[in-house]
This record gives sequence, structure tokens and C-alpha cells, in this order.
Amino acid sequence: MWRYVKSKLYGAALILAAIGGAVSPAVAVAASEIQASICVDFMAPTITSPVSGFATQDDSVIVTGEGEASLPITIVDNGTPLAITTVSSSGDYAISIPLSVGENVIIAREVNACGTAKESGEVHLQRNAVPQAPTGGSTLNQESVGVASIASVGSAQDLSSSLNQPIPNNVSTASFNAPVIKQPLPDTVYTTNLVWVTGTAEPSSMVTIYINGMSVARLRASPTGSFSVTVELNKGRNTIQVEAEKDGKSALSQSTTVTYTPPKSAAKGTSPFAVATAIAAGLAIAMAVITSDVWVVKLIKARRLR
Amino acid sequence: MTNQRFRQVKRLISVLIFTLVSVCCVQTVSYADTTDSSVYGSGSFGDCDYGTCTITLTDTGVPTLTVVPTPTGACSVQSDTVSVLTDSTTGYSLTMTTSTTNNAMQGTTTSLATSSGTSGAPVTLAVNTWGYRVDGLASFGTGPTTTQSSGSVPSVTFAGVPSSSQSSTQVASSSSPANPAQDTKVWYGVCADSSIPVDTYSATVVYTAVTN
Repeated sequence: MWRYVKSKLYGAALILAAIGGAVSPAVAVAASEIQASICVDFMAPTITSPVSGFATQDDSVIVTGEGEASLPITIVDNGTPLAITTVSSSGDYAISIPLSVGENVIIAREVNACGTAKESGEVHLQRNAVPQAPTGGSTLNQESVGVASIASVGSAQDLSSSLNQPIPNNVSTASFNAPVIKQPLPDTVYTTNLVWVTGTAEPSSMVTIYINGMSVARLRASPTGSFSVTVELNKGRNTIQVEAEKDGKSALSQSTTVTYTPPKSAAKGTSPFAVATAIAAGLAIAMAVITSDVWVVKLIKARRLR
Repeated sequence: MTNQRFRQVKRLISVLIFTLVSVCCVQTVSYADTTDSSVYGSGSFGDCDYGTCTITLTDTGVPTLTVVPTPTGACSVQSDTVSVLTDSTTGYSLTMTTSTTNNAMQGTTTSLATSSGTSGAPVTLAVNTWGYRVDGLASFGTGPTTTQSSGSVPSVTFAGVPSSSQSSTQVASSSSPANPAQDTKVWYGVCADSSIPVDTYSATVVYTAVTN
């Protein structure tokens, strides 16, 4: 009897406790990502070539200059962004842009990861129309007179997002000539990491350079179809491909594989050859300073060197 | 034996009474929280019953803290506005932690540690650390904190955001309904010197709002 009463009492207590505990507070959760972009301050980029006043009849020009290493740099012509590449680790860049007939005011613009933009000074170029040969014909071809304006490679805002992108899967080649890489030549071994990529593509097509499957530069081919840009190689094998797009069609070039092998530093070497070279260099310096007018002082320096 | 049974019955009855009283209290609160405040005059009664209240939490997000470091350190400060909406008569509590057990801001190769301060003892931001503060909360002081970008070390103090494995830190609370929504401005600061690699560092904070 007691056991029965006890179990009933405990049971009732548990049920009541459960009822009391079933009332739970409302909860809401939200997450927020805190991001900090650490950036370097940098000098405004420069355009070293061409210089203001340069005049040409060519439909494109190679723009070279210096900028903050490893940042994307955009070349803007008459307010229109025409090409983008990445400044090399040594601070150089070179890329071709098509020219409009008439005045071309170009600037180089670099933007860091914090969104800080810096621009070079303006460079004023002139592209003169090629005089028409007195052939009696009345048809003007585009190449001889150039084009009035050059289409942008994208808005200034989205240009940088066109770098570091993989090769698209939907490259169609229907009725479209694939671009051709003229330089570098296949299987070339480089000891410097900055190389020219030049070639031809559909005239005025949008050209994207890929290294090991990732885009490193984007520019518009000239009205005659040429393009040039310097790119920085990765250590080891580099497979270069070029994609050209125009009027909704696109085509991919054959790939060209080159190798970048950085030169070994003699100073770091411990091989007998390196040691012998260092000793020889030391002797040469000693010999040189002994024969100089102030040999006593410099001889001490030479001994230190050895 | 009889005495022993008597004691057991007494103990069980005590448990039962205690439970009944507990439930009664809960029920009393429920009745007090009726939606019809006119029945009870002009008291500060809420709009929902305990246990049936909802709570809504939104935040504006934090703009990226951009820092151009200097050799001695440069600091940036931005804010996140967190809004809590609830009809709970007993109010709410808003807490936060990071989303992971690591409360450092992670970059590709290195990280920025969270501040060593706490809300009870906040500190000036040290270089290569990040932290939060809420003006007027705990020992943070009234501020006012202002937005800055790559400036000098802020004069106001900051605390570290606890990791998900630590006790959360309270950033706001109320003992009355928050309708319309109550905003809390949570400030985040980061300082970096030139030794920090150029990169994007990030951490995710998780806000949790609970009705009281």
C-alpha cells in the first residue's frame, strides 16, 4: 500500500516539475563576420613609356611602368579601363592597349585590398589615321583608319575581379578563330620570372591570359588582333593559355608550357666550386686594392673580406 | 517503522508542495502577462505570455576594418548595430562569443589575437590585437567611441571577444519589453603594426538574444 502511495506521489511530483520546466525562454541568434584588411600604403603607379606627346599610326601601344608589387593595375584610356594585369614582384608592368584614332589620354590605376586607389599622371598620346592610298577605291577599311572608340574590358570596379579566375568551362569555338600564342615559345626555360606573352586573336576581341588555369591579365586585342603583356611566372612549370571572346563567342588557344627556374645564389652555396669562387673573388679584391693608391687602409678591408 | 513512513510521507508532501508552488508562480506570471492591460490598469504589463514570447535579433554587419599599418601601429574602429525585438515583459539578455573555439582573427599565415581585456576590466587596444566595446556597458566608460581608419590607438578601452568554448559576454540586457526594437552599437577595433603581413583577417561573432 505504502509503495503504491509513494510511487503515486513521486509520479505526481515529476509530472508537475515537468510542466513547470517545459516553459523555456525564446532565443534568437545572429552571426556577423568581422573582417580586417591589412594593406600597405603605396606610391602612385607611373607610366614610363610611352611619354606624353608620343604619336603613332599603330593601332596599339605597349604601356610600361612601375607600381606597387603584386597589386592589380588597370590602364585607363580616355576614361575607359582597357587592360588589367598584376604588377610584378619587382614592381614592373607592361601591357598593350588598343588606341583610338585621335588623342588618347592614358593613366595607370592601382587599387590595394583596402580599396585605396592611386593613379599615375596623365600621358597624352596621339594616334594618327593612316593616309589613304590613292587606289581609287572608296571603301575604307577599319585597320587603315582605326576605330573611333575602344570598348572597355569592364567597369573599373569589376576589372580586378577578372583576375585569379579559372578558365571557364563553356568556351565555344564555333566560327571563331582560336588565339595564337607567339611568345613565349614552348618548353623554354627561364631564369627570370617576368616574360612577355604576345600573340594574335580575333581583332578587338577580349583576351584573357591564364597561367596554370588562373587568369593573370585581361586586355583587348588591337583592331588588327595583336596583344602583348608581361606576366610573372610561378616557380617550376607554367602552362600558359589565352582565351579570346567577342560577340558572345570565345575560343581557347593551344597551351604553351614554359619553366621558370630561379638562379641559385652563389653566396648561399657551400659547394667546393662556390667556396673557390668566393676565395678567388676575395683575392681579386685584395689584388685590386693593393694596387690602389690607398692600399694600406683597403688591404685591411680586403683581409676582412677573406 | 511508522515514524519512518511518516517522515517519508512528510518529505514527499514537501516535494509536492514545493513543485506546486513553483508551478503556481509560473502561472501567476502568465496571468500577469495577459495582453489585455486595461484589466490591470496602467501597469507595465507586456504583450505576451512567458514561454510564448518571440524574440528577433538583427544586425547591420560590420564594415571591413581597413588598416594601413605603421611601424608603431595603426588602428581602425567600426561599429555593428544589433537590434533586439521582443514583447517579453521580463526583457532579454544579449550575449556574444566568436563562432569557433579560436577567438583570434585568422589570416592566411598568421592571426590577430583578441584583446586581453574583459568587459569588467577593458584595456587600451594593443598592437596586433582586436577587440570590442559597448559605450556605457560595464567598465567600458561612456565613450563616445567614433569610427576611425588607420589612426592612432583609440583612447577608449576594449575587451576581447570570448571564444565559443568560453562563457559568453553580455553586451546588452533589459528587464522590460523591447518593442520597438532596442539597438546596441557594438564597436570593433583592430590595431596592427608593420610586422603583420598584408592580408584579410576575419573572425565571426555570434550574438545570442534570450528572453528573460
